[in-house]
Amino acid sequence: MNERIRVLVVEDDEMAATTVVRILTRSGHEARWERTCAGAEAAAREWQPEVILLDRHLPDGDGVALAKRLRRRHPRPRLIVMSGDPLDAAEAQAVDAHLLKPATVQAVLAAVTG
Amino acid sequence: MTSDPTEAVAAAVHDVRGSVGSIRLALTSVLEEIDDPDVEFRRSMLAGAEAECRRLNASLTALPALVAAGVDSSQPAAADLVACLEAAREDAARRQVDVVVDASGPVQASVRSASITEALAALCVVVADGDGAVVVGAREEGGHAVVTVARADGSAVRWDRAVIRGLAESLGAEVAGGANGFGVIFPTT
Repeated sequence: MNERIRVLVVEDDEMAATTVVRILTRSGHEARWERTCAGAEAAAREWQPEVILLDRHLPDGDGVALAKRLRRRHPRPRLIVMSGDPLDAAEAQAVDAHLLKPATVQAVLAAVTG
Repeated sequence: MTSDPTEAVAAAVHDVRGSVGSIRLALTSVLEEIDDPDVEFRRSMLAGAEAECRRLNASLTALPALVAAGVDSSQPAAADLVACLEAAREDAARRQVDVVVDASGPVQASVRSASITEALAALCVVVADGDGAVVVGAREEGGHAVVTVARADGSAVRWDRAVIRGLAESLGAEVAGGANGFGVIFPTT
């Protein structure tokens, strides 16, 4: 089994989030799901994840903007954004990795483990 | 509220991509560990993918109605929402979606008649998600005309889906969520 990593999944779609959490847990990682930017910011502060996997479109904001705020307050977690469209150069610089949807399970796990 | 058809379609595409993303993740997780003896894991992933396929199909079925409502430039005019719902019920039935109209008497609202029937039917298709019947109603409330939409089995409805919001807003209406369904709020005449 790989190193156990604490992953915060930020995703507004319940089915997508459940699938990702299930896959991460099965792969030996610890995963927690938040639906909103506000929930993610609270969880980043309290739970201190090592990786934050963010959807681009969230009910209360943009995933890349959230990544920038998280980076300023929490330099440690690895920030990964998932989106249907490519990121521009400035957006890509704000995160550690970008996954283009629809991603495979291998791509998600590779991004999480870095 | 947006009535820009481009924005509405883009938001609906995001919904669709979410479904495709979930399906691909689920399928690749099963393929990756096809020889794994954990049948329960594979079953849960495939069941999730199957549910997403139904949801994806419902969203795609609604897209033409979303576009039609978005580009409908006719002037809103007075119409009976109960009659519109009856017409939508017939339209949905052709798509093998059962709709129960639980309303009586005329409920007047200001609607674009060219797109209202197809859009209401599309809302029902999305709410049914390929599984189960839908109950719709109409009533006057607080100076507005409200179409209520719920699943017949009382299960929760994801009313904040972009395709639902887009359909309502393209009709010049707003969506308000409830415990087991949602309301589409139209201006009255």
